[in-house]
Amino acid sequence: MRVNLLWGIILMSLFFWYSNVQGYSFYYRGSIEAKYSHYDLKNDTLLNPNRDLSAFSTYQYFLEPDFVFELNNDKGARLVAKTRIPWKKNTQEHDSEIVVDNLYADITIFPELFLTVGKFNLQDGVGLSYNPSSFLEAKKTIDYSKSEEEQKQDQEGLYLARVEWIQENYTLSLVTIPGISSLQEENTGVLSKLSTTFDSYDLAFHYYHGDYPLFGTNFSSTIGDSLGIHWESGLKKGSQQKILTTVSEIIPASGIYSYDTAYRENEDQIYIKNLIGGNYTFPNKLNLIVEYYYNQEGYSNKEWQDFIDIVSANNNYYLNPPFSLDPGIFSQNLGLANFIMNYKYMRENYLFFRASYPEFLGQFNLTLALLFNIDDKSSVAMPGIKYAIDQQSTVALSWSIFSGKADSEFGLLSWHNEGRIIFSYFL
Amino acid sequence: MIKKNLLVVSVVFFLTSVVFSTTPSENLQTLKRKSNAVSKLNAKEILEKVDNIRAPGTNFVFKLEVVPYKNGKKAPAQKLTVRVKDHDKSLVEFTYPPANKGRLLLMNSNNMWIYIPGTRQPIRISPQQRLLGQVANGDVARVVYSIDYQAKIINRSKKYIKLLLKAKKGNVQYGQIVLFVNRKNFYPEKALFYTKSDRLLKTAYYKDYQEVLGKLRPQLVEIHDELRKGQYTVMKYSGMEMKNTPGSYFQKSYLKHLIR
Repeated sequence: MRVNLLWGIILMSLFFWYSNVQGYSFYYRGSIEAKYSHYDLKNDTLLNPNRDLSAFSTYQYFLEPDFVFELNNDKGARLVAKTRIPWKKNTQEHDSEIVVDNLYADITIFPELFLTVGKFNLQDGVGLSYNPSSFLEAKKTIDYSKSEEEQKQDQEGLYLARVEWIQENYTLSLVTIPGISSLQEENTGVLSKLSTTFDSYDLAFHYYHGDYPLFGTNFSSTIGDSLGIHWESGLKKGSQQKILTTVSEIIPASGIYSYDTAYRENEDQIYIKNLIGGNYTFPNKLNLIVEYYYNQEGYSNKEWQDFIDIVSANNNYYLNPPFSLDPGIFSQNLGLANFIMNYKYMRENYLFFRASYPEFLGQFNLTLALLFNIDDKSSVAMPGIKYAIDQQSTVALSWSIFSGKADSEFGLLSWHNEGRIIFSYFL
Repeated sequence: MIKKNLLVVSVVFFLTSVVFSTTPSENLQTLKRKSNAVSKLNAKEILEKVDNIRAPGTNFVFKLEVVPYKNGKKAPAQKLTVRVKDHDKSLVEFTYPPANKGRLLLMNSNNMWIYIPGTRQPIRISPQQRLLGQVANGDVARVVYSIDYQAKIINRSKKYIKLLLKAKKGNVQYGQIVLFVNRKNFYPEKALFYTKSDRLLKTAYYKDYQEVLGKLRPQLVEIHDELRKGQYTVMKYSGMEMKNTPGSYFQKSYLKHLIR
């Protein structure tokens, strides 16, 4: 928070210096969201036997004011701040924090040249469910109970400096991310991007030079008046997917091991990630989106089976400790397995589908989203209904229904489903 | 004396008869000339006249309130500010309700993007994607017909010239439009919007003609849903002014830098 405040003062000073205290306009928007979530907990899962490792709460109250402020001047400078103050309470914790998603100055140097400095939620890509070419958002906390669009909006930004040159048919961007440990986890990196539009096609190329060299491509277009298509691709050298590795055999020749987590060893391997999708809007406003994504960095069938074998064995040892060993050894191993679970990115092949029907019966908005893991046939279905009470407030009911075998990705979660009622007020 | 009075009466009678005989004949001739002029105009010229009524020029700005109705009951409205440049570029800013405040819709030629503040890059969308009620994005962002449609006269009645507008390209919002143009003044009065498979989708009525920027222009357009009877949306125009918005505003990459 102190760092955010310091940045706020620096940026404000820069802004006032640049704008020379004249010709200001102020713009704001905001919302307050109150949410009650109920979790239908499982009594026992492979990762959480008898709910002993994590005593999840069956409910959670959540309140989140979210504000955006913009101070503009007529010389083409803007100071933008977006902050959220999430507060949550359940049987396990009672917590609140201040999250600064954006706090940056955006300065027009020439009519076509822009400088952006500060904390900025920079995301790329054309996919809705997955963005293999968005390289600067990986290490941030995301609330998966929010819609795909809200997940992208409500993410803490990175400290960066960006220069953008906008021409009629193309745009060049250069972004530097300083690797300052007191500011952020990310190491120093440089992202360059070329985006262009020709005829009815949008095309973009990204190259990131940092811990791992990354290359990304985006393409989107419309066909006719109702169909949109998009494709997004990412190439990555080395993997950031964690795996369980054996540290030592606890009792010689017993096959009982202690574990640790590590990245895959093969740092030179190129990993491919691809997303292809389309959307279609019917004359009655029904909008369908279908996306398939391939994540080569995810676990292959063999890797997943190895992972499940380790989890199953440690689950069994925890419940029935062999050689009178301390069950804590096995709960620690299961804790490591929990730690590396990165839901919706664990495997290689996924299918995403979303149908939304706005203004159903006038003031209702219906949605049904489904994320299907093709590799293990587990899924999460997310139906929802939103009602516009008036011009400034909505109330919504939504669910996340998880299904799959006990050893599948979504089957490993500690609850069968999550139901939510959300009240939103917009300022 | 009698002769003098007779002379005066004769002169007055002559002058009166001249006045009353020539004026109607002149009016009739004017009407005939105008009628001939109307009949001489081809479909393209008529459509240009219609477009000039709807749009005051190539670069202008206006405000729009979009109010959907269902069975006569008013639903929540949206307020927008629309900037138009060179006829085929439009930038729509959502100003109300607060939930949508700050969103931007950009149309450049036949390409359309939406930008939601706080998110990544603008997302390419199709013209069919709906804004609110019976109004699609393209209905707001595109203010003239002649860019996207080729006109053909299909009927001339005493009151209307009926134009058939056929899509020039496949990526426009409607397959064809039947436009009812007032024969006297070229006011658009009614339009029937069809899908590419000739299914009637919507009917629009152009109403509330008021003098704006030197010409009578419709300030209200009522769009009736032909698939769901009883549902319609009213688009109210206001604050129309000639304004040249900088060209950079219509670049998709510029949207995130736009100062409100």
